[in-house]
Formats: sequence, structure tokens, C-alpha cells
Amino acid sequence: MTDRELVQGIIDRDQAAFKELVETHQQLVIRTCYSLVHELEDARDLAQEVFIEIMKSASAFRGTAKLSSWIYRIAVNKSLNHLKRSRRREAFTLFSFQDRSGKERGEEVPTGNSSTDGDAVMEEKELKRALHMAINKLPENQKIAFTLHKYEELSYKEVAEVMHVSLSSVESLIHRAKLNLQKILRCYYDSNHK
Amino acid sequence: MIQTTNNMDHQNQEEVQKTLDFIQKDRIIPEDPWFYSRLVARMENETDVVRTSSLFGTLALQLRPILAVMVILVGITGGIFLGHAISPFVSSPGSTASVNSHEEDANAALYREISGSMDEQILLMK
Repeated sequence: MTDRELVQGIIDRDQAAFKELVETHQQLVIRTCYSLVHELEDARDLAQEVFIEIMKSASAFRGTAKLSSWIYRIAVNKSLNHLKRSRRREAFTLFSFQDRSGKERGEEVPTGNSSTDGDAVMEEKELKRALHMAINKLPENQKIAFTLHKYEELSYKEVAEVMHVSLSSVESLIHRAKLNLQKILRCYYDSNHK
Repeated sequence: MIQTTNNMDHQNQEEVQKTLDFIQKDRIIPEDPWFYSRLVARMENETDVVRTSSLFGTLALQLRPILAVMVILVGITGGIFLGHAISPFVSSPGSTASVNSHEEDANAALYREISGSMDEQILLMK
């Protein structure tokens, strides 16, 4: 099925078309949401919202851009709204750090038997924490451009299409994002080693 | 001292690079075989909620004129009851009539008295 046929199928409430769309784009949507919200369960919930949104507004797809670009845009918007909501919620929650424990949020809890496995798992957890912290500190546009390029492996042109900006803007955003990440991480490890 | 600082910088740079390289691992998301089923269940659930709320909405729309008529009727009935409740404090047409009849009685007695005295005067004149 082509993109247009798929969208037409969804407009006509064809269940097979919807199933095909979900199965084809499921990982893409979950990964995009995850790259911005950094919680797998939240990303899966958001991905469901993205597909519900696609179902509701399929008729709004004009077909001028690629279907995947349109889906990426919905996923990015949903994730950014989710982040804004959680930031507002956290501002009202006194002990919000209690919610962040991996066990409660459905993250994989390391169950390494040997100490070497345990060390590797701990190191991965630490790398993940540092990476997510650094990405979260980036300005919104840099964060979107960087994650779409690095997590989704989209080309600069594709990122520009999703973000509705020029190619040179994307190049600049990703370049600045890389510099900022280096700076943030260097500060982070400097303070950790002191 | 300088060598220690250089070693630390080198170590930090390595860690920064390692962290950035970790994206390649972090971007691997485990497949969720129940994703589509859960999505369909959620959509059905949301449709039920929408259907229930729209049913209530339709009912509310249809009941609105009936409710308006009921409010008017209650207002009129309440007005009538209130009117009856405060009537002892206001002179009603009935009470005016009784006052008038008392006045008439008093006047008749007066006339009788006057006319009596007039008769007496006429008799005396005679």
C-alpha cells in the first residue's frame, strides 16, 4: 500500500489499513517519543496517543510531504506537550524524585548475577542517565533536531522537512546541539570527579 | 600537577565520547507484541466514553424545554402560594366589604338616632 492508499484506508475506517500503519510505524513512533521523554512506558502511551491522533485527523494529511514526516511531527508535538505537562506537575510535587525510581516507572531493573555483569549494567545506567540529562538541557529546537538525526537516523533534509525549517537551520541546530552536549557532559564529569 | 590535570581532562573527554556513543545502544527499543491490541482496546474504551457522554448530551438537550416549563410552573405555583400566605396582612376585597358593612351599620344607627330626634323636634314644634 502506498502512503496515500494507507491514509485513504484510515479515512474510510478500514481496520486493515490502520493495522498496517501501526505495524509499519510503531517502532518509529515509540523511538521518537522515547528520545524526547526518556521513559519507555511513557513513550508507549504517547505512541498510542499519536496513532489515535492520526486516526482522527487523517483527512488533514495533504500528501505534500511524506507520511512518515507527518507522523514524526505528531509524535514530536505529543512528546513536547507531555514534557511540558510533567514539568508543570513536578513543580507542584514536592518529592517528585521518588517517582523517578526505575522500578516504579517500569524500567528494566538490572538482575546481573556476577559482579562483572553488575558493573556493566551499572555503567550503562550511568551513561544513560548522563546522556538523558544532557539532552534534556538542550534548547527545544536543538533537542528535536539532534534526536531526530541521532535516534531516528534521519538525514538533515528529512529533519528539515519534519521541523518545517531550512536545511542550513538544521545543520546549525545539530552543530550547536553537539557543542552544547560536549560542554554539558564535560561539566557533569568534571563535577563528578572533584 | 599539570600531568594529573591533563589525565583528568583526557579521562573526561573519553567519558563524554562514551556517553555520546551510548545513543547507538539507547535507540534500540524492545518490540512490544501487544502494542496494537492495547491500542485497539484503548480506542474502544475512548469511543465508549464519548458515546456515553454524547448520550447524556442528547438527553440534556431534549430535556431542556421540559425543564424550562417545569421551572415556570414552579414559579407560578410558588407565587400563588406566597400570595395566599401573605394575604392576612393585606386588605383583601372580602375584608373591605366587611369593613364597609360595619360602616353602613354604624351610619344607619346614626340616621335612626338623628331621625328620631328630628321627629321629637317636629312633635315639640307642633
